Amino acid sequence: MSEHAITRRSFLAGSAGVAAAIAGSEFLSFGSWQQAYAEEAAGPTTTAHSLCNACSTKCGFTAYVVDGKLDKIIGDASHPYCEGTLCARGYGYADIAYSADRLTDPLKKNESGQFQAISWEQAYAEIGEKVQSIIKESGPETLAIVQDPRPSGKYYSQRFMNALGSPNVYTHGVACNMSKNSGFAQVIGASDYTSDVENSKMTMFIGRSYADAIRPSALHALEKAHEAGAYIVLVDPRLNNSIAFADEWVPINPGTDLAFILGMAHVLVSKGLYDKDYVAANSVGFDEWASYLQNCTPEWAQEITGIDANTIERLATMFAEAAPAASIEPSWRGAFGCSYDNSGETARAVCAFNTLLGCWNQKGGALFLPSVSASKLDAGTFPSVPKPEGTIVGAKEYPLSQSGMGVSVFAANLATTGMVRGMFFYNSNMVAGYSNPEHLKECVEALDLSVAIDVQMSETCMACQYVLPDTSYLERLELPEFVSAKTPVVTLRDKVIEKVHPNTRPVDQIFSELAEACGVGEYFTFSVEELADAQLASVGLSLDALRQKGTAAFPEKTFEYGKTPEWKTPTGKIQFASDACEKAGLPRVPQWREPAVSVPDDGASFRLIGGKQAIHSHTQTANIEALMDITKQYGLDRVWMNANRAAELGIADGDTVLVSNDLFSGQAQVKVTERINPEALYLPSHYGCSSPQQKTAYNVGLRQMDFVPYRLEEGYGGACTQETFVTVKKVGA
Amino acid sequence: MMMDDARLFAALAQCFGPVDQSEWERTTSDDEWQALIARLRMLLQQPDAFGAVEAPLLRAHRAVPLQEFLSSREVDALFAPPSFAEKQSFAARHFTGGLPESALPIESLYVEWTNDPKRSPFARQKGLYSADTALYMRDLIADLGLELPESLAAYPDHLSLELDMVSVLLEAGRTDDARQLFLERSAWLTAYRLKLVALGEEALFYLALIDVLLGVRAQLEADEGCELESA
Repeated sequence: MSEHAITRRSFLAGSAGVAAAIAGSEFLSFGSWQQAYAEEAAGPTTTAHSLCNACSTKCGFTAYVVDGKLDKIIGDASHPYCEGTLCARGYGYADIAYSADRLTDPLKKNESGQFQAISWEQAYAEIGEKVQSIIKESGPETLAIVQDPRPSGKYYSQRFMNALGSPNVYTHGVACNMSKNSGFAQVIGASDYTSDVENSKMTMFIGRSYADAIRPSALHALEKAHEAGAYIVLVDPRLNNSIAFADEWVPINPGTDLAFILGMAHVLVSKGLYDKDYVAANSVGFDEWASYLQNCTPEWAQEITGIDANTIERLATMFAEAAPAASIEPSWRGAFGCSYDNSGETARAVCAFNTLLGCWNQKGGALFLPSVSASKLDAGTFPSVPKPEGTIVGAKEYPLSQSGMGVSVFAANLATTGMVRGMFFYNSNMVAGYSNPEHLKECVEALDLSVAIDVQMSETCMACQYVLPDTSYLERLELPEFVSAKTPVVTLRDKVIEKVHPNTRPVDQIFSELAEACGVGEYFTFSVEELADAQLASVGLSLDALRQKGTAAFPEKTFEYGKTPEWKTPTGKIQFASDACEKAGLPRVPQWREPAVSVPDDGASFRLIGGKQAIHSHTQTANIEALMDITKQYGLDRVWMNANRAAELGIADGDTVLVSNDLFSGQAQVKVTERINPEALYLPSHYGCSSPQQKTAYNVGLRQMDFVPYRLEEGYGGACTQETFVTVKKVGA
Repeated sequence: MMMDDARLFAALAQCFGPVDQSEWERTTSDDEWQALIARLRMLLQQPDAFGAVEAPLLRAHRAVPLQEFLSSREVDALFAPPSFAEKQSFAARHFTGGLPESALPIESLYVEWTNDPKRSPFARQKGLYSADTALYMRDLIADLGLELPESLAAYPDHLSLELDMVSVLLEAGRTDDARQLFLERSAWLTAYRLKLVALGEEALFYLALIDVLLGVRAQLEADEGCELESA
């Protein structure tokens, strides 16, 4: 007899006495139910605090759930990233929980390359056996994991891989902000800082747009700065949407930001407009850089950047006048997060320039905001995982790469040599987003073991042997998220709704069970609730308390202006010159370095640049119907072409064009505009989904990465996502 | 062997839901299956037979109904139900979510999430799990004192449960309620049918069942129209 039945044939148990119940039923018909449901105000309402998952910002919100279904979400005013406002992605992405494209069962690729559902037991048994076999034959260092950090995911994925004995834990950073972070670290000993935009007199954005890749609080700050009269400059080949709050657009040639900064630095140094006392007290290597800068005149920079020398000189002078309440904003992915072979060096130049302004930790300048973290926990309950031997794969070849991020695509590339044999992916679409998709697909398919954990069938899932269905972010409790801010906070992603699909499992459970199957279950003997509570207890809080508030502040750690930071560099000073860079084969001081790929001067070629949009920032948001509707309504999947170049090529606004290079060719509609540098062709980064399982995103627009060759930045390991060019011609011409 | 409609709809429910091997083999044994087809044939031919324990006499001068509603390949597929292993294999490829070949028989995926515009955030959006139809079925099942099976608890508007509910109502002698529920809960099958069509040959058995259900629905609708006219 089936578990589903009390009678031989019925799924619905308990049918005895049903006749009487039917007679008394209030809503046998759907219409009567709808009426009753509406009159009852749709049942009980519960609330829970959670964190958005549409991008890496993880804004806090309160979710309202009516009768078990998500009804609305409202940004939490106490969360420092959203300040009570969510962006369109935050609202739209919530439907992922109910999406028809959700993965509902563990999947295994069969011999004909098709996925079929299997049991969790079978998945764990086969994966565990393979992991142990790889370790026995080749050592744990041939295993790796790639994850886009999320509160629980980053903890459990690292613990899992380290427990297996592998140091190979990667983030998406290689195709995001790793070069920037790594370059910063060489100069200031920290991987990031925050521009105090709202209190600044002048802030320059290089390739970053707060109004496109939205963090609501950043946009609020920009708005305040604009209203207060700060001079806001956008340095970008494309006039982005932050212009609503900006004063000047500098339409720079793509890939030349480094020359632009060097030109401005030349002005400050040659005219003595820099903060000499600050530089003398806090830095090393200034004279070396100053010597190099002698030839970096604005006229020299003009030739490279396409920006008039007078503009460069004027902006440098304005910076000096505004200092120390001024800075170059740190940017993110945009111009030098991972884009060019000179990205890391551009990042060094940015920090060096800010040092000339003496703006570190000054009001309106560039700040190192405080953060809080959980203390060490009881080793009896939460046993320490032994530190794996060796270093993360890729660290030797790319010694400047930030070890906390790692060069994930380099590790994947080693799959073709057998030096990496097994890879796991958590919340990571490496194949579609990190470098050339065709190449990365081949790499993943060459692995002896490939496992993806996700909520929908990404291109990375498609390439893997096993796909394990994660719960959506609304269906699970995660570990506390500590957030750096002027007053640091800790936030919580709590469970909002019950699991929509009973056979999905939350990330903490999946990794704990995988660990058990792989023979290292002794490091996962606690629940996520116990761990979260212990982490919070270590900072004087509790899980119950944080569940009530969603966000808890640490006012005693509030930032104070004017304090000189502790420079965590080898010299303990700001480093204009770096021994590590020299050892990696780069100049000791930031110097001009050409992008690796030059665009042919043939009248038909363009450098392909990417960029986020307010409603899409990642490949994962493209499959959200409400967001894609906006794309279609406003033609946001169009490529942008300069009006003069378009006229030369006989292309008109709205034409369909063929975009080609030796890697890929595809059609798109074109937006002809004066809002873009003539050398650049802009293609939004997140379209062109090739996973037919993502029915909303599939085949909409082109994918930037299809045109990008596999290439890594010297020293830093960035994915060089804009080191490519394409030709464009009108279809049918 | 005679099969009543309560048993018929319970058996149809089994075709789309998770059942164990012995149960499936019992359902698809020659006698049972022939009885099921015979009953389906009758419903397609005589809408007034719906829910009747004693079947009315077959009316004369009617063509063989199965071939009116099904292609010859569907008829063949209907007469050769899959083995348990074949059913499991089909379910592993198509009754799971997130694949291009996914064809989960869940009404929510084919109807508006809710048609109440006051209820955000996805009012009127189609293709999401847990639509109002799921809440309705959940509430109806609970209201009748029934329990959802664990394996389908998240999908109260799964076709298996909807067909099973028709069976429950028929078994309780509530023919009119069963007829109304069937008519209300089968409108989405036209859209679901297209999913199965896209799967080609391997889905023919399930396509045939859906086409038969749509045929029964069409007959019942026509019959209701006649009754209204005569009233």
